[in-house]
Amino acid sequence: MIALLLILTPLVAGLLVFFLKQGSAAKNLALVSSIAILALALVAVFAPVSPVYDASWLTNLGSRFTLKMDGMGKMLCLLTAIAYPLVFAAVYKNEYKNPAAFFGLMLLTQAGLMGVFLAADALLFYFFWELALIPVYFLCSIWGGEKRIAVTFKFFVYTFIGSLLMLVGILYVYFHTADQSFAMESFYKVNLSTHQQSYIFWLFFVAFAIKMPIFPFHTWQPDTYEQSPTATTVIMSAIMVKMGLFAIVRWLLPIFPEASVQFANVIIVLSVIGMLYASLIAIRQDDLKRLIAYSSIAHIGLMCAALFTHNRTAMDGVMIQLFNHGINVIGLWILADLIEQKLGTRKLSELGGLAQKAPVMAILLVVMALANVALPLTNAFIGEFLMFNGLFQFNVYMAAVAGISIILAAVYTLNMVQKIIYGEVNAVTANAVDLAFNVKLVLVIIALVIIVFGVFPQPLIDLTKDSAAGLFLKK
Amino acid sequence: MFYYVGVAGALMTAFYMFRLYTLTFLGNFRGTQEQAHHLHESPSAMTIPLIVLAVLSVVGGFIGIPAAFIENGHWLEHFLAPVFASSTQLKAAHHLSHQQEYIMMGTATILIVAVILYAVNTYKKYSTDQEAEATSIGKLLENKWYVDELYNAVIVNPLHVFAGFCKNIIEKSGVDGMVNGVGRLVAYSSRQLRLVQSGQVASYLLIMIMAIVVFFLIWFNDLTIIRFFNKIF
Repeated sequence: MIALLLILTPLVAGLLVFFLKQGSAAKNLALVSSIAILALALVAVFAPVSPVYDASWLTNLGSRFTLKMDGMGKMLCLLTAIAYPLVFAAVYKNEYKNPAAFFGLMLLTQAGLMGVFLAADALLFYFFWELALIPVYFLCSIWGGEKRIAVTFKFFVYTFIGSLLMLVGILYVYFHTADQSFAMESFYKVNLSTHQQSYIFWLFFVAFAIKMPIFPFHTWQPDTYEQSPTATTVIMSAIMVKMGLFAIVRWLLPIFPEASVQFANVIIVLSVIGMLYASLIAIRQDDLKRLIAYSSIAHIGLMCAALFTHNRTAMDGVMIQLFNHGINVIGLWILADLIEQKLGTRKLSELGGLAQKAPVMAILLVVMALANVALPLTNAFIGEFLMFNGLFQFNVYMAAVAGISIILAAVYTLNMVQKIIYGEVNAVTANAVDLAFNVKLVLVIIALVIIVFGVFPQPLIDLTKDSAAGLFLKK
Repeated sequence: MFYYVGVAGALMTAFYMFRLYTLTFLGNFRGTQEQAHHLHESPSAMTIPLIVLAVLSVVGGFIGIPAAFIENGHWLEHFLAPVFASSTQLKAAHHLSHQQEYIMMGTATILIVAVILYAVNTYKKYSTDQEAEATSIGKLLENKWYVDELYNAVIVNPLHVFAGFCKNIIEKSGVDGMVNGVGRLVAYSSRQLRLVQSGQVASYLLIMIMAIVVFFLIWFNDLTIIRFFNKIF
């Protein structure tokens, strides 16, 4: 039941907010309902509630409205639930045209995301996958930057092609299930020959690879992150890309075990190339948002590579990193948004000297930046360490090449910090003021999470143990 | 041999530390009047920790006093013994008499005092206007043996150039160019196909009849088509 509530609450709240007349009322209702959803998610994760919800849906097709919470799903629901109040609080003072529609669409996206992380029926999963995409399309194309129309079109076509390939794949598997059912259990039991697997695997993988994104399917991402309103970018970057990784664990590895071993090399090589490639481009970026976007591609690449090592340690690392990467990018994006809103530029070359003007912001930026580099004692360290450990056991050379990206991450991140907060105060930064209370609160919470999970990551490992272990039992 | 290198290092340290001390605290003030006006003792937040550190550094010198002066006075002698336990077994015992130690310590001390006096004397009357262009060795040292330059040339600059190549060429024209190319191809072919929809019934009829002929031939006998093509070519 609680699983259903996790989807229904944002859906209903989103519709309510959407039709409110007053902008400020919409904003407040959105914030309050996002906090309520966080409370629900906390109950779902920590209270001993039934993890399954089942109702009949499209009976003739063999599809049921089945929701199931496993450890990984719970964790990502929690991440989604944490992200929304943080984002809403951080953008509380921003001005949006037609705020009711903006916050309404944001909440509808949340409903879709929750659905993706909970659905235990392939058709339902596909349904939510698209439900999460469509509001984002409108969010970007209405509230985005100058080039929003072209960029959103590209984003939509890109992800939609992926989705359609996946739909074909889902239908193919469906017709080969013993009981003609979309249920996750039937999909897991389906018997496909190695030959069949080696084709259908790619239909699914391309969809997920576009979503993550994995090199060379990534070019929609920097454009879209750059042009979207930052609140939407946060959701895309922190949570929507996790849909791809989550889907690999839940819908790809168990259904195509042979193909996922057969193609592990190809995918890991692509991921590692992507890591280096994206890091190199990040070094040369002058645009703050594009820099974070490429940095994100590099981090996701490592997670994808770790998933295909079929190694228990790496899998634990991925689970932790899913959560922690989400937390870190929320912080970075909020800071990027703040800089853009306050100073009117995202160009690193035009910034400088913010440490004198906004010391609290500078300190928090450094914390987020160090977490982005995965320094020990920040949350990202333990996840990256476990993933590199797994990658090392899979292939030493891969791990060595991928390791270079850690150095490159330090190069572009510290370079970014240097250009923003050090140096001379210039005309652009002369009038900068320090953080407002709401943003300070949000960023301090994020910094606390970074440090707490950096020192004590065990709860995350425990939470996702069953998902990571489940993959290895099925073989 | 290692003793001489060690002494040389100690002498250089003595030299540069007292060069620094002399230039900073002795001699005439070399800044402007304005700056001279602002000179003052540092706040107690800085002086108190400095005093504590100064006291401790003297104390620290006596904690490790060699046996030549006070028998068993060396508190730290066995402090790291467990760390070196395995390596001491491999190392041949090496012992000096106390007399040898006195000579070595004496020489070192005298040399150091001499170097200090030299440094203080040289730099006491130093003023900025007598600064000369550094000569070969001086220049090498001024540029930190050119290690940073070496790094820049071998690692940093090539990396930047390669990263720029990735960003501007591969990403823009390569990967993204391919994606946009697919888009343009679709747009282009639709534009061309649109021309077929001319609205002229006559040409529609022509295409229709041609299509019927083609399908009829395929249906009737595909050998006929093959023969037809053979006749043409």
